[in-house]
Amino acid sequence: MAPRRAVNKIPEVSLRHRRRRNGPGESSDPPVSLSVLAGTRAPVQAPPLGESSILSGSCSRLGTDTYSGSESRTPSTARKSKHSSGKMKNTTTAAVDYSSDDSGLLSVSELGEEIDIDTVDNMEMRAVPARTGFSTEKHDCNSSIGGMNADKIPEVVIAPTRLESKGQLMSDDDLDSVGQFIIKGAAVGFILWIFLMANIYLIAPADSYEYLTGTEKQATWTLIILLFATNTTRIIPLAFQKNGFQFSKSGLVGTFMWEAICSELKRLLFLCTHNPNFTQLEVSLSNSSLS
Amino acid sequence: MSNWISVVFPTPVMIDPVSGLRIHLMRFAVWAPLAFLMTFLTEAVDLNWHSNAPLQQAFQAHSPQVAWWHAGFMALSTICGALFPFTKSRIVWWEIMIISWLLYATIFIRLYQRYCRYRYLEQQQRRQIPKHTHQTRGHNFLLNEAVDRSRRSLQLILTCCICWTLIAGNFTVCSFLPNWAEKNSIWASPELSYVIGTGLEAISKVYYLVMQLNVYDQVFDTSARSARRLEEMRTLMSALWEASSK
Repeated sequence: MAPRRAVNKIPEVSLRHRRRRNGPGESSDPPVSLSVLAGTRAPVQAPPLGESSILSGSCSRLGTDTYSGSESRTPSTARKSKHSSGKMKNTTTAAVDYSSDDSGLLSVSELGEEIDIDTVDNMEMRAVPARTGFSTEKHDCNSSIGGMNADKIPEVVIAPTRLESKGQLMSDDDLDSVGQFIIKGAAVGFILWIFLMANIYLIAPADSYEYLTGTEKQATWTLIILLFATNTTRIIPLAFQKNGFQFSKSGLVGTFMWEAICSELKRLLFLCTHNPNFTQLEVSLSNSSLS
Repeated sequence: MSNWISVVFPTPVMIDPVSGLRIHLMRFAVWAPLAFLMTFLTEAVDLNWHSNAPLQQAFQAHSPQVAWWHAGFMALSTICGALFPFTKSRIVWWEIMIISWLLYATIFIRLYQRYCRYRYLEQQQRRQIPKHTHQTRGHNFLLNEAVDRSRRSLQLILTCCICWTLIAGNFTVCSFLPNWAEKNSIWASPELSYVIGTGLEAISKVYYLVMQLNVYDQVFDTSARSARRLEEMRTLMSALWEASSK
């Protein structure tokens, strides 16, 4: 663990959500996450900024302790600073060692074996010195604390995780998109079904219409009962879950359905055993075994 | 609904002039939208919602248009089966068969791409777990959710792949069986393809439904999602509390 510095001043530290140059397939405004390595050295991934005030506090502490006295450093990316020494190296590991020292502040510590810099590709922290005329249009400010010595304000820029920046991690807002997307697909499927049914009845010759008989009819009835039983025992409880209709979960419906399925299977088996084709198979099998 | 119609009312049944197979056109009218919808749902579970990648990279990027294309391919592949009775020559019959299988083969590509995506996300999750611990999940809630969704999507597409390959294989094999088997044997029975297809359809639908409900619990159930998020918050608070108490 790197030696902690005494913090005399608490500089103002703002946590900024650095907006990346996004590609066409990347999110323009992804959430920010930060991994906090607690005293147990267990990395804790906090929810995105803005969703939890706890995370904002932690991040602020991180920035306060980490960058006090290191304001003059040049901007450095995580990978560049891997080869540097001191605290910048620690910041590249994007981890925070929370310790209850007298300052009571979080300090950045070397992560060691916990996370190697080459493997940290979904979490990046970058140290950027304070700049005058910082454009807030290009940077979203999430939180800030302190309020001392504004000239020496270092900025902790927490980049979004790489997966989040690519939009591969679904947020709550995306769930609404999924629902609408599925409704569109279901509508297209329904239209396709109507279209095909109408076309088949129009195209098929009139003399091709037949009733299902024998084994085909039994198989179809078994399929209908099986699907009905499955839907009844799984979907209906789900549909009525919020209304308190728990009776269908009791197993009675499922039991009756399985009784019906078994009886249908029994009838199907009886029909198959009396089918001349099956009888022929039995004869051929017995002849082959005798020979 | 369609099965009930086919049992109660007369439905068009045509004979394939090349293979001699009895083809129930109603089943293909049901299977095509069903294949479309099941593929669409499978893809929609885990997509990159912010991707606007062009079509050449869409399959690799898992962008939303992949769901439309893949589902469309599956539906077209199924519709090809309904065209067999209308073919007049053997060459056209073989062309339709090859096109149908080529369109169907996209599901294997998607299965591989889904597997690669799951492996990638799982590796990302594993890197968040510190060594020498017994944790199985990282502490990034969104990443954990993404891994679970990716796993569910992979399971769904694997289910579809296995069941539908059996159905398509059954149809293809049964197209040749009447020509190869003896006329009085069971393998030459005109009902064999229908019965086996119905059984596989039942397995496919029932198993897919069970998995889809699990996906609902995983992805769309807001209460379950909130509970998991609270659990993550509890873990975070516990770690901070323990650290601050030392």
